[in-house]
Amino acid sequence: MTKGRLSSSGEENALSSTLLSIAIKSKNVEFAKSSSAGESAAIPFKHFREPLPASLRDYEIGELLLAVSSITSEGNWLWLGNVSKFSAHELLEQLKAHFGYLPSEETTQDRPASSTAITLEPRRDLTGKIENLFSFGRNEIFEDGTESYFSRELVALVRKHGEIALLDIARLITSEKADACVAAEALKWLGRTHHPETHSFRRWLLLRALTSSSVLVREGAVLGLAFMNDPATISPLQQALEREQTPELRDDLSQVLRQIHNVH
Amino acid sequence: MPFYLRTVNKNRWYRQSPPSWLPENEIPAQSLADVVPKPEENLSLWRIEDDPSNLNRVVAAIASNRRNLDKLDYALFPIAIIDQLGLTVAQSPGKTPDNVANSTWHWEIIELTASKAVLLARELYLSAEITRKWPLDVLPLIREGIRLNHLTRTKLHADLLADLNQEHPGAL
Repeated sequence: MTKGRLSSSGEENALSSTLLSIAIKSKNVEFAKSSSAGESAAIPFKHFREPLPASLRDYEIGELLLAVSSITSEGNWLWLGNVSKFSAHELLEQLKAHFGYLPSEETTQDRPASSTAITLEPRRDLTGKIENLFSFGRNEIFEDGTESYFSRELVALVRKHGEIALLDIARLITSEKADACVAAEALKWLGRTHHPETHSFRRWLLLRALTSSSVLVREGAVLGLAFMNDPATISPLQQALEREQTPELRDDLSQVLRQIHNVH
Repeated sequence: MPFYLRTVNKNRWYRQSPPSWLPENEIPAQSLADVVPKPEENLSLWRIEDDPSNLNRVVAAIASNRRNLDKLDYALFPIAIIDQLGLTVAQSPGKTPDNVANSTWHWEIIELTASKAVLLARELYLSAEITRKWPLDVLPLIREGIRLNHLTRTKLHADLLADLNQEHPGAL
């Protein structure tokens, strides 16, 4: 069984709620909160469905989600300190610092009585499905204005599994393991998909893809952002414009920025 | 002088930033993909007036023939290039929801050989104007085409009609 473990002092803040909500959305989560008497008590889900605080930047949330995803997919135990005391950035650093630290399963007995433990089942079925889909996409010819099998399935997976599916998609794209044409097609469709529950994460992924080493992937991200048409992307798009070296993409970025300014 | 419009994929025509390995006077092979017709088909072109008064209508016609709202990249080049390269064109009925555009401005390059396709790609790479219409640019053109009855609404795909009913692309 793949397990990820987070501990907190029992305080509930928005950030730890974010992490916990990821686990809950994975559907196969075993969730228990140990009381001082050693009893387990379910925590109402409503605590973990609060909106993300505005102070968290997309970048931090996205990196955080990716980090957590990496941990669980690797099947490692992770011990964190008092999660609730960390900012998103600090927690990210903690995740990075602790990644690979593998206390044995027995050490769970040593955890503080007030800790919160989460067990995540592996998402291997979904991960495998998404990896296969990206492999299959390499054999497709993508045409403007036409759905492909790849795009149809990709959107369906995002609608069905939400951020859990996006974690795997993000890992394939940001690690640059995905074929560039397929990644670009994915980014375009992620930008045009109407799915408010995952908007923030998709926006983060599109912006993150603007730093890809592949021109094709960056172009796909620009197109996805043009579809998304979100004024929150103006500042990162401007930053992307400043660092972009390909003249044609610079033109694209300028035009998308104009579009967003004009519409909003 | 009038122009011909050929739909392309802009990322195959990055002329300001060619690959570092590309020898001088060569073009990237990927550009060929936009000038090779499908089996048993000819290479579709649209004739654009020199003013260019029918450009937006042709763009709307092409875009409305798709299943989904999307960007539309095209190359514009003077019709004189066809003669210069020894290519043969013929007028043929288009298949878009715009009947007037289909019968008035749709042409095809016929009997296109591989060597002539290379010549055409090379000429487009050197001199054509490559333009991208973004989804938000295309959207009002299709809506206007429907409003003016240039486009036969019943010929539009249901998915595209659904896209048109959204407020803007971000709401798709």
